[in-house]
Amino acid sequence: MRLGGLVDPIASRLLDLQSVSGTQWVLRLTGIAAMVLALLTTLPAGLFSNVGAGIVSLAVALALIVQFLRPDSDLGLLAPAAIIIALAGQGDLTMLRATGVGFALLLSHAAFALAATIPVHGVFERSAWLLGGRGLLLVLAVSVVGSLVVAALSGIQFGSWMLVLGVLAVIALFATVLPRTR
Amino acid sequence: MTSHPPQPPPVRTGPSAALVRAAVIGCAAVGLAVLVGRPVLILAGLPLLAWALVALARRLARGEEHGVAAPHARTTRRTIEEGGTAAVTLTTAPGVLTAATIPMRAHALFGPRHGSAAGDGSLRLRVTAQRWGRIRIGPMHVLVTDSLGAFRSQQQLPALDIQVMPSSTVLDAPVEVPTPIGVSGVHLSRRRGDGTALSEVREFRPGDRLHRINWRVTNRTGKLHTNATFTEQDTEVLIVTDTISDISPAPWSSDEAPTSLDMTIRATSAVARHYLTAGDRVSLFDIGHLIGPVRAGTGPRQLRVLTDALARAGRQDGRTRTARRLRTVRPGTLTVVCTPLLHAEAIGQIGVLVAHGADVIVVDTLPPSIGDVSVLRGKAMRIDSKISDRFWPEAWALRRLLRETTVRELREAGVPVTAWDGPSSLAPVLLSLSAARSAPRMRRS
Repeated sequence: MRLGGLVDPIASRLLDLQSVSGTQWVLRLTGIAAMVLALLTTLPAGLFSNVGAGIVSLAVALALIVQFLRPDSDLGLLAPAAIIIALAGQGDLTMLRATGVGFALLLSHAAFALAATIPVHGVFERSAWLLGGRGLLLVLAVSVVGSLVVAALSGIQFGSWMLVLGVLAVIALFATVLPRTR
Repeated sequence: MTSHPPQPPPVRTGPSAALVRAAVIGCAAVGLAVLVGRPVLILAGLPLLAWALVALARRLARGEEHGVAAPHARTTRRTIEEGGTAAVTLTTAPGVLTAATIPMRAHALFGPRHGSAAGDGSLRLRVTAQRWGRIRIGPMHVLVTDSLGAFRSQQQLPALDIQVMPSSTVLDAPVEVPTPIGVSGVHLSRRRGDGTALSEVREFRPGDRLHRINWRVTNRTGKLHTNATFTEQDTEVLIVTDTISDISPAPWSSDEAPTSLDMTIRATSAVARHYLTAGDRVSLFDIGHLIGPVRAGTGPRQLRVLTDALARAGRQDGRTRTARRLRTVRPGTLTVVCTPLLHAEAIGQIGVLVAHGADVIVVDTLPPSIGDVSVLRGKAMRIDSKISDRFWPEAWALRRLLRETTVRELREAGVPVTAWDGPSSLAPVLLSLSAARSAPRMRRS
């Protein structure tokens, strides 16, 4: 096989990267970095310290690769889902670690959500950055207030009746937030 | 009273994959926290839940559940010159993240580079035209979404057209024509009458104007003498363009090298401007029917009509067109034929024009790099680092050699052929035509 036949497709792929805009590099790399941060915070003992951690790490890596190439992919659900499940299985989860994971997930999610609004060669004008930034600031404010409320209420012991009420509340929340049509 | 165009109906937005992701993960975290009895888990999913709730609340607060303002695109300028820039503005409503993508077009540069951008409620995309003709901007793919990217809608807006006029070169050539056939103008004719150029001093005849009496000669001879002058006339200039096909320059020439159609249009524009400025009537006939005929006219208005017709011509299709024939032409009409001299129909048309008594000049618009034998080395050429087995350069070299016969035959028939090489291309031909006016002529049998 000629060397050119092997090198040319790789060179062509590398040249294609030139058409990726600075906006997309910033958004997609932010999305990846934040998700990796969330994963590292979730698995402080190491990404492959045990079989479960290895599976979670691989799932997150796969989802990230897909989402890096296609930020609008439904497979993007896999990475945060794997992290939440991993957190649920940990007995020593502290509030600080859970909050850190939550905000890292938010940053990754917001970056990929904005990246999905323009093509790979598209750019954000200054006004678009400001609009996105204002929206994210509002979300951050609501999240901080919500986290403080949860932290304050977590010390209170409720009875077993709370489980029924809590499940009903989650179903109601789910029905409110979940989109009906796509 | 001013009438406003009808407002398009609002665009309904739907949830994005990001909203589904945030809602599912946020609710799953809360649900897990309730089920395993560990409220700390809520903290991990709360920011995503907040993202979804804020998006939902914002949509309700702004009344966007019924739709957002429909995107509206317009261009700042409908007509630009070669090298000029026009902007395409897209507007929706403030607070709506608006993204637009325009397909790339040949001979047009976009700003941003790949023709895709997003802004808050409005955005501007710049288009710089590198070549004359009509540039189709679009169809434009538009995505409108909220500031978080949670609810969105996509639609396609129809294409907008921008006309690019050929750059206005001023021909560096004399305005003399061999046979002025008009009534009054700037060209010196062979007819005697009212004018400024002295033809002779002769004896006064009844009907001669008194102010033309030459008193000096009258005193000397003792008989009334008067100055006779040549009349000054305008003329009719017919420009015949051959747009049957567009021949691209050779692959080894620069990106800015013009095609045969570019050269034809630039030559046409320059010749038309040249004679219209001199006050002549200029008309246009297109053998390839790309531009459409332009009837004879004079002055700046005719220049506008002509440049508009040239700018409207589309050049994207790249197909060969069927030729049309111009049946008659007034004898003595100065006819400038801009052609790459490749099609028999165009060459036949030149013969018809000459037979009708028109003063024909042929402007050769075949790109100089086509058929250039200096690049041939006796072995297959590498083009874009690939060796082609089709031998195009050799084939074009043979075609150009064949064409030389046509050029020689035209010259032998008294039709000057000059290659288009910018504004000074026509000067020698027009000068020689002017000089030929006074040369002895052989009557056509």
